This record gives sequence, structure tokens and C-alpha cells, in this order.
Amino acid sequence: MHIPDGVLPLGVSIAGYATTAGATWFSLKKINQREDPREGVPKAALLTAGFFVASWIHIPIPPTSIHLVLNGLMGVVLGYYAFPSILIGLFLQAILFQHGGITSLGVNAAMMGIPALLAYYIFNLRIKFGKKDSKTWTNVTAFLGGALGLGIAAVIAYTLLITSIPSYLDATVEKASILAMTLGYLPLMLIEGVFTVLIVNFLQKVKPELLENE
Amino acid sequence: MDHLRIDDYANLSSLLHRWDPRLKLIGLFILIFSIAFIQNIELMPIVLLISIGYYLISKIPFSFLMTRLRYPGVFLLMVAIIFPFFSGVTVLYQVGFVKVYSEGLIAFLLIASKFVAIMIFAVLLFGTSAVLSTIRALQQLRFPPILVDMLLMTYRYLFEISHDFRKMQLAMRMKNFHATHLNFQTLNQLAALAGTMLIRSYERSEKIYKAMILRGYASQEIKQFNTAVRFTSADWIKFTVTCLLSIGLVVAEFYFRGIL
Repeated sequence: MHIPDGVLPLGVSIAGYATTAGATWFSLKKINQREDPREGVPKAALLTAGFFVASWIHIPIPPTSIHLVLNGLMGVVLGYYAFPSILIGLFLQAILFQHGGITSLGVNAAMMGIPALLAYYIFNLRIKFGKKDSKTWTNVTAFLGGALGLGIAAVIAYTLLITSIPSYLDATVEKASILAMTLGYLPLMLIEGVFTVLIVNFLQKVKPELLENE
Repeated sequence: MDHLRIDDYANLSSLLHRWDPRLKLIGLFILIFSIAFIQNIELMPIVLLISIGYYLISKIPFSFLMTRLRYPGVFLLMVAIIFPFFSGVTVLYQVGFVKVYSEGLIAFLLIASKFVAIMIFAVLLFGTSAVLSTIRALQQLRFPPILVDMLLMTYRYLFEISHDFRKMQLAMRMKNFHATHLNFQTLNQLAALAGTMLIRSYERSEKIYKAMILRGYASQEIKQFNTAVRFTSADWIKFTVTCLLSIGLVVAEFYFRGIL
């Protein structure tokens, strides 16, 4: 899911940085509208570290295993802090273990962070419809947030990779392969969605205040 | 845990180590982006020479650089398998039904050499000053304070939280938890592990926040003392040389594209 250095053309990398700058600006603007914007900083920072480590959890799918992206869950838990948090997480992954890249940081942050914001909006739909305490609404919105968070990121990643790499494929083959890759992600989206629901239920039982990001 | 330490060799003394982190950040970023701009394979030997040159100046041990390449090596291997054999129209070699395409081979070489060159510069950029100095440089370069504070604290607590995580994993294994099959129970237990991690991080953050308030961390903008050191002429010389190299690469690329 992390696009490395050296793959994307410069224009795409710069567009990615521009998008990330815009989304960061938007998030920080929303954060600064709070009464005390710095109050959320330690919470967001420590949870960023928590999510960073939680993404090391491997889900067994014999004969292999996958790790989770959890960007949808980050949106659900962190709200407007999710985008800066994802940006920081990816930056640290890139400099600490060369996972992802420096030139592709903007693209990676945008493709994972914007779906996270979307997941946050989806999860809050339950409040908008006055169903905050409904278990079904919580589960459905959490599932959609988690599954779409990963799904949208995967579609963006493969679209960028397949269209920007000189692969000498014609347009129909390109479209077919993007579709195939995305379909391949459906089971992973299912797992990510279910996992998001399970964590949300766990948090609701043990520490409900973590989900009160309105 | 060891792989988290990118700045293990930040205490060496070399031209790169002594370069002010602010100008180093800007200079090497310009160079990295000009490398990303290149699409002509003919220029890649020069790019690799430049990166090897900077690497030799840095005095960072080769073994350290290699450990940094290990993880991304998997990606390179994938590109090496996909491109030369499946992408292109001109057949270069053919053994049985296996064909090697020249376009695919060139695309692979281009991606691989750009990747290695940028990787080397990234290791040099973040490996020749302590990560905390790099973060301070970002602050002095006027990055948004909330972003810098978050980055600083995430980095500060990453080590402890990953240590916690290892302990929890060990505890689960001691209670005979083995994630070998994908079923609801396994997922539920792993979700409890992730959830516990998040709650622990959250609870720790509350204590930290209280401690920070006691030490004067306030809602209003704290007036920062301007402790930034002035750039020396050596800093500027290194910056100029790096910029000139970047401009040279871009000009050469334009020349190869037939624009100049």
C-alpha cells in the first residue's frame, strides 16, 4: 500500500504533496477552531504511536498473513487529528525503516488520510441521525469506515501505479487490471471492516470516551 | 526495535554531519526531487555516482546502509520480476517461452537506480543528524506548531509503546495464543490486543498532558526563544554545491528530452 520512491513521475509526487498540504491545512484549521487546540495534541500523538505499532499486528490468512492499514479506524478515533496523524506516521515509517518513500510521502498521506477523514464523517452519521447509542448503526458505520478507508486507498494506489508507470499496456488492459486489483482487495476490505467493528466494540466497552470525537 | 534507530551514526563527524540540519533538509530535498524528475536511463550512472559520492563523504558504515536496504529490497525484487518479463514490445532475449523485453528492462533499471539513489540520500538526510535535531529544524523552518509537537511526541513515545506491544504479544503467547487460523475468535483477540494498545497510549497521554501543563505547556502560543544558530559559510557552500548538482541534473534531463 505504500508507494515507494522512484516509481511515480515527479508531477504526481508534487500533486500528492499539494493535496497533502491542503488536507493538512484543512485539518489544522478545524483543530484550531477548538477552545484549546493543543489539548488534543498529546492524545493524538500517543495514539499515532499506538496505531503505528498496531499496524504490525498480522492477521493470519494461511498460508500467508497480512497486516492492517487501520486508516479508517484512525479517522473514527482521531477525527480531524487523523490526517496529521497519518502524515506523521508515514513520515516516521519512511525515515525509520524506509517503508514508503520521501518523494511519495505526499501521495501516500493523501491516499490514506483523505479516506480516513471520510471514515470519520461516515462514523458520525449515526449522531446526525440521532442513533448514537444504536449498536447496529455503530457497527454498520464503523464497518463502512474501515472497509472504505482501505478500499478507496487501494483504488487510488493502483490507479496511480498503473497509469503512471510506463507499462506499454493499452487503455482497456489498464482498466481491467485496475479493476482486478481492486476486486482482489474486496476480501481485505471485509477483514479491515470487521476488525474495525471489533475494535470499536472493544473500545466502547472498555473506554468509550476514546470514541467521543464529535 | 533496532530498526527504529536511523540516527545510530548521527554522532560521527563528517561534512554532512556538520551541515546545519535546516539547509541540509532543503538542499537534499531539492536534490532528491531532481532525481525523481529524471526519466532518462543515460543519466542514471551520474546520479548513482553523486549519491555514492555523498555517501562516502558521510562516513556511515556500509553495513548500516545495507540493513536499511533490506526491507525495500522486497519491492525491488517484485519490480525486477514483473517489468523485464511482462512489459514491453521489443524482445531482447528469448529462452523457450520466457521473453525479456528491452522496454521493461529499461523501466526496471530506471526505477531501481532512482530508488536506490533516493534511498541513499534519505538515509544520509535523516542518518547524519539526530532525529530530534531534524524535528527542531522543521520547527525553525516554520512548520505548523501543532504538527511539529505531534511529530515530536509520537517519536518520543514510539519506542515505549512498541516495547509495551512486544510485552503484550509475549504475554499472549505465554497464554498459548497462536494466530494461525483466520476465524472470528482470533480476530476478536487481535482486536482486543490493538484496542488495549490504543487505550494504554491514550491513558499515558492523559498523564503526560497533565505533566506538561504543570511545566507550562499552555493553550496560547508560547513565545519561542530564538535559539537558532546562524548558518556558517560552510553550510552555504554545501547548500550551493547541492543545488548546482540538482540544476545540472535537471538541465541534463531537459537536454536528453530534446527540450534544450
